[in-house]
Amino acid sequence: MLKKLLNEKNYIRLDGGMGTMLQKNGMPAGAVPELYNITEPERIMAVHREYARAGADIIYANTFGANRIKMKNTGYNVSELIEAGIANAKKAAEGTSALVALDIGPIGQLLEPLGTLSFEEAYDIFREEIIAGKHADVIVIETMTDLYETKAALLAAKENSQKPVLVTMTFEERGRTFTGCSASAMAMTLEGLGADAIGINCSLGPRELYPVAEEICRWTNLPVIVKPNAGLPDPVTGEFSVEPEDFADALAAMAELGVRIFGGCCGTTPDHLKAAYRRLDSMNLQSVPKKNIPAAVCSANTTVTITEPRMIGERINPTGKKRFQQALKENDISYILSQAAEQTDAGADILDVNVGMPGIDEKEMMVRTVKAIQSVTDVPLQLDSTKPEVLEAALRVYNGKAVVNSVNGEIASLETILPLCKKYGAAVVGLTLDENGIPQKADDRFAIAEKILAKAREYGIPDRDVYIDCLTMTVSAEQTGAAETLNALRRVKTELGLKTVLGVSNISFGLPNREAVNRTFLTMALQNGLDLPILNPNITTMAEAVRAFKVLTCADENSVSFIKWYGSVQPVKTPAPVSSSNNMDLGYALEHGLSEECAKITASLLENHDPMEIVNDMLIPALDKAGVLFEQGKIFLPQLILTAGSAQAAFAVIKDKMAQSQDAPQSKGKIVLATVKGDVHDIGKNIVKVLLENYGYTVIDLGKDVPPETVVNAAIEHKVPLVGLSALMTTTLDAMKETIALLNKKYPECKTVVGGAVLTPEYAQQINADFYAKDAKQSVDVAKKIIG
Amino acid sequence: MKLNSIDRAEALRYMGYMGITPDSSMQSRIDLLEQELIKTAVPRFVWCVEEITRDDGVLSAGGVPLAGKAIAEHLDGCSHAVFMAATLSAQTDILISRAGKRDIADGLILDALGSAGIEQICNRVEELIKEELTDKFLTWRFSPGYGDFPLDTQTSLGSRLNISRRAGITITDTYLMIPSKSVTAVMGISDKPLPKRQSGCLYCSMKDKCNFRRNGVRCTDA
Repeated sequence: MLKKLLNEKNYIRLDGGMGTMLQKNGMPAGAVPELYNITEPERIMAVHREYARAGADIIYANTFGANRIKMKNTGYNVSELIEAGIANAKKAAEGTSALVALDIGPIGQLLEPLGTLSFEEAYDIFREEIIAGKHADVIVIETMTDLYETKAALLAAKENSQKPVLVTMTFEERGRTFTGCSASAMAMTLEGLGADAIGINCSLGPRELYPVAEEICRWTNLPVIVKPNAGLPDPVTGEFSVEPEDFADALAAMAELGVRIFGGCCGTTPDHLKAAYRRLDSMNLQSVPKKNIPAAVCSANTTVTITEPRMIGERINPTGKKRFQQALKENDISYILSQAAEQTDAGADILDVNVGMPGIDEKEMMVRTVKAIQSVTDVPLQLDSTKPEVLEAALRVYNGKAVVNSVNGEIASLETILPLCKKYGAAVVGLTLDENGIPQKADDRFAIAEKILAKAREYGIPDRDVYIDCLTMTVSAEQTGAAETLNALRRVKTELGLKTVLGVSNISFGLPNREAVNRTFLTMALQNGLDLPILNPNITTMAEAVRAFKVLTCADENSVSFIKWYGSVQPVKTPAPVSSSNNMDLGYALEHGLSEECAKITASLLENHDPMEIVNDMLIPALDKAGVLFEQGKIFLPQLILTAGSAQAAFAVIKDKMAQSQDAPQSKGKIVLATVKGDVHDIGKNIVKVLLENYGYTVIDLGKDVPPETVVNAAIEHKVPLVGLSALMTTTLDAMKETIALLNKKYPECKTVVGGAVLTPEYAQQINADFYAKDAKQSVDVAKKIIG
Repeated sequence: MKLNSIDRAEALRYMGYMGITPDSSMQSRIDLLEQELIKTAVPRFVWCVEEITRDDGVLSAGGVPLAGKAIAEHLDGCSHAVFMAATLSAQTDILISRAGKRDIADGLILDALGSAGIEQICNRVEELIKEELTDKFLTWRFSPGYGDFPLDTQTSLGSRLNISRRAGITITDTYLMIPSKSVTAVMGISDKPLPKRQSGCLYCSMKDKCNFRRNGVRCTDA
């Protein structure tokens, strides 16, 4: 429909502001415009009519905020408000050719991890709107600032209707949305998910949006939309500053960039739109030539172009890693997150995520892991599983454009994996193997690559999103294998023009000095055209080889990045200790919060000490000492938790060691911790958690904004003797009371300890908490008392 | 508007240091985190002026109900009210939470720096408003939740200022703002000089259990 419109006309006309027009026409401040669909339909239709008569091709129904969250206390439900809104617009458009759009704005609550709304809830809220809007001709998703929320809306639109979907987000002058989403990430992600046109609305005045429009045009071949405000309202008078002719000029400038869908947002009037249409009509716009879009993947905030070698970190994978397997079995997401953080710091450009292991629910774990990793790093992810249902679940909740690892030359694989990649707009790794296994010869692997490419094209996946893996063979088993892999790789790169990916570490299996073999093979592969080495970025020589290669091939212009990595000593967070780690003892390192030193000293102590001896005779006494000093007011909270953080580093080393020797670390007992429903402050709770873990308790951390039922269920499921609850605001104390009441009813033998800025011992008693802890140290004392 | 530096004394207070200077290794750790916060924060603000109406003693301005004794006293003698909101941005929240997941001490320090930072931004917004409203007299900033000024005023105040569109601030069901380093406030405007108003502790709901007061100081004493 959009294509048809664009073929008939050389640009598409959208309408202008609704809310600001209603205010101008006397809607009182504080009124909810969506209610007018039912209470004052004439006023709504009057505005629509003006835009339709001015020549708009698409008018937006007055349904922007008609979601169940925003309309909660209005006395109307979503479907009646939306149906009325669309009926009004249709009626107003009678006698013109204007189409009517269902207008969907942001929910008004932020999604996780920043806010409390889950991706799945957001999807459901949008789905309700899409279904209610079934009589609209077009769906518009607009004024979005969060790419994740936008994805939920777009998925809901694509999965619950056949209508064309226009998506616009709101950008600031520096080219980012309020939540930091970039124009390139927006364009790549939304085009991948099947939007029919994308662009910008609201935001600033039209002139300020020029660079953002330019960037979006560079990253998409979809029709681009611009629907700006008439500037910003004056704080005193409320007037918008941009006049119709200036508005028209600014849109005309963006038409030169290739923008082909135009309208106005807040503060624009039919006069602004008429001026704009006149100006655009006079330009005789031609269709926009197709551009070459760079190969790239992204998270919401970070775009990684594959125009030079990029490192894919391989560490989030349980294969052959006992400590990782143990973490998966124990649902220990923080260990997995530490692997993500470590690789990010080491310079990984993309992180491979694989949580497949017998005996766990891989799908559930994958979703949890992807969400958790997204909350700690902006590095784009490569979703790695052999199971299509795991891949699909991960693709749904991924915020950005991911890589799927992997498809292979088998028909069954191609026909299940490629449609997923197409639907969610992901790039895909194609392994050069098929029903008959891995071909020995380069030519045969090349043939499989061709087959994968042909099939990807059939599904509409662009060539730039197909990355071929020519597979590394262990050289100790088949010495000529390395040459076959490299030959295949070179042919894929030069003859098919595709990006290439390769896991390099397997090459040296069974040989001594593996690192030397790996590094040399990596360099050879890069020279043969490898774009995406999969490796362990923490091994410095491997990362060095990639960075040096980029200098020598001019990919790293003026060696800027290389010098940044190696030109100066890495800045250290804490000043160098007075003594070196050789003669520094663990107590000193703990007291001074020197995490790295703590880890090193612990590792060397483990050579001739029993792990539990280190814990009981060194770590715990040091923590006790810090606790006493804190109580005496001799040290303050930051120092106390620095010590706790360093102890954590020491414990990590001990856990690693114990996992190697199959020893399960001893736990003193389990404790459930949560920040109560409605409260999003979790620093206090997290401090308590670190301290409790230091003392050997297993903490089941339920996070923030946790409903009473979840707390009670977790307490019962894990049979914990103690639950800790945190609340920071007076408004959330009720939720704390409610949680304790429910716990006392369903699981009376469980004790509770409460804390948080607004709590007092008296109030704790009043809500029937068993203990009040004024700080983290006291919560450890309570745990000792209850559990021992 | 950019944050250039953060009031160290204020931030240290939020960290729990009561008038004591941390050692140099802690100071340099704070220095690094301060730089990171300044680099990350994208301060934003929005404000508007509304006429105050008094209907049978019930106050409102621009469709925002201004309920309670405290705000009525605060706006006594004022014809108009300034509504303002400011935030250090979602990126700041993300920085604090990510840092805290890696090292809880960094999380705590950044959280305190953020609290001090948003106050500084509010002070600068207030100055800027005063420059715009020359020859007017303004009261100090009074926020929902002070005294008996209902916290649920956040919702109507927020929608009057259009804070989600204009500043990226959202309000939860329990009237918390996300991003967390955000502030909303009301100031009274008058043509005549205003008598000095009660401020600080008297309006604070924590005044009976405050550690600072217990130790004979006030949180506003740097």
